[in-house]
Amino acid sequence: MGDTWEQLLSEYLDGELSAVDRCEVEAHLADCTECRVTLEELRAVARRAAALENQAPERDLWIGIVQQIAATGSAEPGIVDIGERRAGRRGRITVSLPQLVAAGIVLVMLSAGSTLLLQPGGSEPVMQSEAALSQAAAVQAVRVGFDVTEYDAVIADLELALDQGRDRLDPNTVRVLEQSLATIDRAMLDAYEALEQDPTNSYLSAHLAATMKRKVELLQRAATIARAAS
Amino acid sequence: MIGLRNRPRAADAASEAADCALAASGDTRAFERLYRKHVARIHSLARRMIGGDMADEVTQDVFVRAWEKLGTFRGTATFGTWLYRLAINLILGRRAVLGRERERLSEGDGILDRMSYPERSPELGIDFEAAVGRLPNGARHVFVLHDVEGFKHHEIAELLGVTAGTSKAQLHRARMFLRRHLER
Amino acid sequence: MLTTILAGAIATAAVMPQTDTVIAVGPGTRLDIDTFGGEVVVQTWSRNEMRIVANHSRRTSVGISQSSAAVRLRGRSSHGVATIDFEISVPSGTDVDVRGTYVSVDLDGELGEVRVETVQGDIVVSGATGFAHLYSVQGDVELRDADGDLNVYSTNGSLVVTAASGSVRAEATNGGITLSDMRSSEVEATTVNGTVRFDGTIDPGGRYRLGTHSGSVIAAVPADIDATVSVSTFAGDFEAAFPITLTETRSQGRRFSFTVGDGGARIELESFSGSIRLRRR
Repeated sequence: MGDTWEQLLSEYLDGELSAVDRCEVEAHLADCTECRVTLEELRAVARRAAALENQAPERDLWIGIVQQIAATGSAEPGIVDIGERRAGRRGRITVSLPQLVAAGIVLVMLSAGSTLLLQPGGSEPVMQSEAALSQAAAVQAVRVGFDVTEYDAVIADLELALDQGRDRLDPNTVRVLEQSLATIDRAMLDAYEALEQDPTNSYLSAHLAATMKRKVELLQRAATIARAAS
Repeated sequence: MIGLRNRPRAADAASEAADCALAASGDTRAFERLYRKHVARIHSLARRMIGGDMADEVTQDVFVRAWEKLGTFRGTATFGTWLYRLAINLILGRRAVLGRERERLSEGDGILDRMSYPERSPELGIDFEAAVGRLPNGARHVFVLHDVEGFKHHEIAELLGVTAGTSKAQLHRARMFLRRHLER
Repeated sequence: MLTTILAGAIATAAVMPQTDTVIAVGPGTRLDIDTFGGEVVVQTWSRNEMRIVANHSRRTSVGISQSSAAVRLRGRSSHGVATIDFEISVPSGTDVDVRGTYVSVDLDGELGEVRVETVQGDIVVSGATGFAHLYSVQGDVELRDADGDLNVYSTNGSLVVTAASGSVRAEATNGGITLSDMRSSEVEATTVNGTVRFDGTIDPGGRYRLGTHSGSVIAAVPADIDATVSVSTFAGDFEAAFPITLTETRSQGRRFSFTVGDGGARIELESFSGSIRLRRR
């Protein structure tokens, strides 16, 4: 029957058959077009499989990995060589406003009622009117929904709210939020280090500001979820 | 017992050995270099064996475990081989749990089916890889290990805890299904 | 016990549902669901009625209240959390609002405005009109065949938008964004860790911004577009399938603009460290 012969075709293809069986299959193949076609199809599948390319994941998984490694305490301290480490945040690299100022970053964040301009060489964030800003270095401004002069305080408050509500949240959700925050922190650090090399680069400053805004939004969302959890 | 594909060239081995030593003493930047070099292979294996949903998480677990066990890596095989073996063990350990998950999810759960196989470049291979993903667990594991990764049936039998005969039958089943999904 | 099967009704579950009710509704009545966990599946039909079928345990109940403005469903449990699987049919054009924690949502049909928020769970919506706000913290979000002010968010999942017109905002953090068969004049798609893919028409007066930090940006547009394209990256690279004439280059870093055709639309492609590709559809 065709079915019985077909069952042997893969083993025949892979050279797994005994000499006797192999001869019988070959004799059958000489007479059976259908089996010959099937054999070629199986060969094509095997070849296609062997040619499959390896693809890196769409997302960069390194952040999640290094976070877990840092949590085990076995990483060299040198991995976190920049930024403040908030108390209780293991392995999280953060960027604060004083750091940005010290690095001479030019950054503009606009919220209703307050406008923040960080200027090279300044020791304090400088408040500016929008008119004065428009004459400043051609930096892109990012609109945010919070008081930018209080950025670090806003972050601290939200992290506290998340911390207090952490026990009420599903550990899976906590892990996801922590990973996302780590992703954002890492992006902020990349942008910050790039800006150190090119402090007036308007793409970089807008990118950093947008990432800082993203962090606040995520923390706001996390705090809301934590408060709602019961 | 290793797959036949993707053996690293001799020239890379020296710098990789250096990175291994650094990583074993706590240098995460060195470990990141190792990660970047091997993640495509590990992730592709995870994705094909257990599906896209869990592949990211399992890949991370592989590297975290590799970091933890670096102290036991003697260097008798290449790092890639050692890592690969670790990945196989971890993935096979997971499949028992995840196999049940997949069966439950595949009962008409269109949301997850649609999400599991996003489009990706290169253009070739989308339909074929997706078809591999649709194979039932047993056939898919055997197919990936044999035709993609290059293991022999007796090796697969040992890895999966089945007989060589079962492995051969599953492989044939898989190929018979997949021949309809070759492009062009 | 017999259950009345209405013509064209959705399939009943294997287990007899605990709730199965039909409510007559006037035009413009919204569907509002606040539940903890489970599935919410909504389809549209041509009746002026909502049919609500819910599977849940005996210790869980569905509170149904109705006003002229909305039909509200609330999951309640006498013990522990409420996990309820809903299958609901609503009139065409109904606005739908779903909030939950472990809820996955599937809305399909001629819907009105749609709002969905969940923490763990995937969201799939097909057929929203006018407005959409879809947010899952951990799950994937998919929006198809929608028109209007469309907003999709996920923190840890990926976003897929297909065949959308109007304005589209897609924001992810740890996930990729795929926009395909787009017919929109305003698109903003940004993620931090993931690849942004775009395939669609370019409106001559439109604005399109695709950005990521560590992933790639791949935009496929028609060959005959009129657009000013600006590309910004710090450590990535750029490749275009179009012959390009640089109109503006900033020094130090890879930022430049070029014009294709008459330059009407604005396309901004940004990736801090990944590849940026501009292709023909």
